Amino acid sequence: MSATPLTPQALHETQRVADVIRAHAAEWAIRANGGYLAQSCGVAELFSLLHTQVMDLGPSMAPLKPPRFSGTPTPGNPGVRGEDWLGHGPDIFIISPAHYASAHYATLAATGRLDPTALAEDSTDGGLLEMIGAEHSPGMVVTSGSLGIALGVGVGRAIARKRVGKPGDVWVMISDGELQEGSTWEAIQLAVSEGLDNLRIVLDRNDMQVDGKMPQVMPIGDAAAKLRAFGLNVFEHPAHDIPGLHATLLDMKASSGPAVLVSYSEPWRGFSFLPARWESNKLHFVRLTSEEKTLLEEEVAQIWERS
Amino acid sequence: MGTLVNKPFYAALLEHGRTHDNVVVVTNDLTASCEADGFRDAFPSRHVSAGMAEQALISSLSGMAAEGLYPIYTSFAVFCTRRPYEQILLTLAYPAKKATLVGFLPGLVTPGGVTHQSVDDIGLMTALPNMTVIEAGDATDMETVLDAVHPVAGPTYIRGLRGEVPRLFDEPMRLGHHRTMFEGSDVLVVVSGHLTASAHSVVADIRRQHPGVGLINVSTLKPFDDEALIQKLLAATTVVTIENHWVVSGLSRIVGQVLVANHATTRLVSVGVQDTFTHGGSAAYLEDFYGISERHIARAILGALGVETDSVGQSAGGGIVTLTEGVAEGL
Repeated sequence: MSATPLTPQALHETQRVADVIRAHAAEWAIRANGGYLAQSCGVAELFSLLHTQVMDLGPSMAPLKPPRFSGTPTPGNPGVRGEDWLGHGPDIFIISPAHYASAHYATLAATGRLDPTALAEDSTDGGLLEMIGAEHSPGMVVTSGSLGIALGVGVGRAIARKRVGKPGDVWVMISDGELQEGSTWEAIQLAVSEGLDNLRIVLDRNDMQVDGKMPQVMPIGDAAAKLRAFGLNVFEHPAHDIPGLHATLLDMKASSGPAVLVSYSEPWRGFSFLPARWESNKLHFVRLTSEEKTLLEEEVAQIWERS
Repeated sequence: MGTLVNKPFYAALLEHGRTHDNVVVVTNDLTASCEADGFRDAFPSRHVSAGMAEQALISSLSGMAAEGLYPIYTSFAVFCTRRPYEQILLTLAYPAKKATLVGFLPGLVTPGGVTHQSVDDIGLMTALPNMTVIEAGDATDMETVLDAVHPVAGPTYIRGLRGEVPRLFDEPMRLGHHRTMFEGSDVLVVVSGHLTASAHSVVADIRRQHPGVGLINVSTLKPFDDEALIQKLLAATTVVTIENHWVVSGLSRIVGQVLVANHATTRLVSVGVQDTFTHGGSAAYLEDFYGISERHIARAILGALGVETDSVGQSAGGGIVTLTEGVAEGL
């Protein structure tokens, strides 16, 4: 490992933010009677590391409390821009599967870019924290609730930055489900063709989709080998090992070409009833039973106690 | 009227598979969400799980049709129409292949936001030569639509309703035949699809004071050649169209073209989603925000009657979006 290891304090902070991401995600599910809890559990350490240790985003340019919805973009008026919450670089972070928006809102709240009260107040009707985010949602850059849309946008931004000599990396988070969409591979093809050494893709490899486990719905096989065959520099690591994932992310950041981290996640990780849902293929969207809700409330309280 | 029926399409698709052994069902990771899991479990060898890969999925339907199968693709409307549009145009519509696309989540019914809200599908599909376009308005429609479109030789798009669906009609759907829900011609209200129950409720209420208000449900949007319906449109003083879709390309546009082409003097009032993109929220909030709630429907009809009404404000929102099974399934 060439990277500088995390200090004990940094490790502690990264774990704390990951815990808070899970707690916020669970509270969302409790409030709304359901949510993308498993997605949040799969990327909690990854999002925490990216925000607290790896990416250089700059300070937020948006209010801690977001305004209410005031319209979609029109020519000459982009309206509220979710990317303002990410600051103006040098790096940028684009989430492609907008089903991970609530995990990212939680990350913004855990890292001081959003007032935590906004998570409850602005996930209501007329609020900007939509369950499947749009580009007016805090921290969302592209309206990409249908899959395989945003990587191409990230590639375009990386091309433009290279053309004008703008520093910083374009980080794009994609899901393994998006490897089923042809448009993902078209975007990778372009990134490799353009030699985008400023494009860093992080892939949540959770092996899960709506109908069930991916091998039963549409197997994508050895994702890392496929990505390598397409010409990306491929890095791999388990998603919940913070020191190792950190070192791998830094290795990727130093990589000389367009690169991808395959983050092997356990989307059931963090709450006691989720593994059973994985087994029964009911994990993609967690709609809580009353027993699960009670359990979740108890387990969230435990997280807050230790955070 | 108005009894809720649970998953009417689920049983209809299963039965269609029983009676037509060349039927194959193709899905894109929304099998149970789009009520095809019963068919899948009964006929596993006739179900194709194509993954989230809608462009190749559509082209594959064309290939299956060329080999004599009758493919039916069930998904959300956005993934049936918007995403694989060129494949639909070139591999299904142009060669007039017999395949059926069933798209759920019509218009503004989902918190999933603009990526999951299909306010353009009727416009996209009716723009295609050779395409038959159907919009279901109740549970009976969902139970009978596959039989209704089975004689169609070319591709068909069905805009469907999933989950708990109200029963409004007793008679099976018939291709190219409108349904008169209330006789009347002072103002003729024409509704298609998801808002049929709302329109029925509103018109029933208004008719206590204004018995000359009529209500018609239209399910065949292309070809729009129901002569009896066209005569009623031409004879009306005012037609109010109601749709959970962009008015620029949906029912209002279709009816407007008929009126203009026939030199009608009929006034057209359009209730639907105006020329704007939309955002996510609860169905009640969205209907209110985008002007397709029962209040907005009532105001449009009363306005057409010349009755003054208070202005209809816009919801400020603030309510929690509760993710019940019917709302969240498959998102």
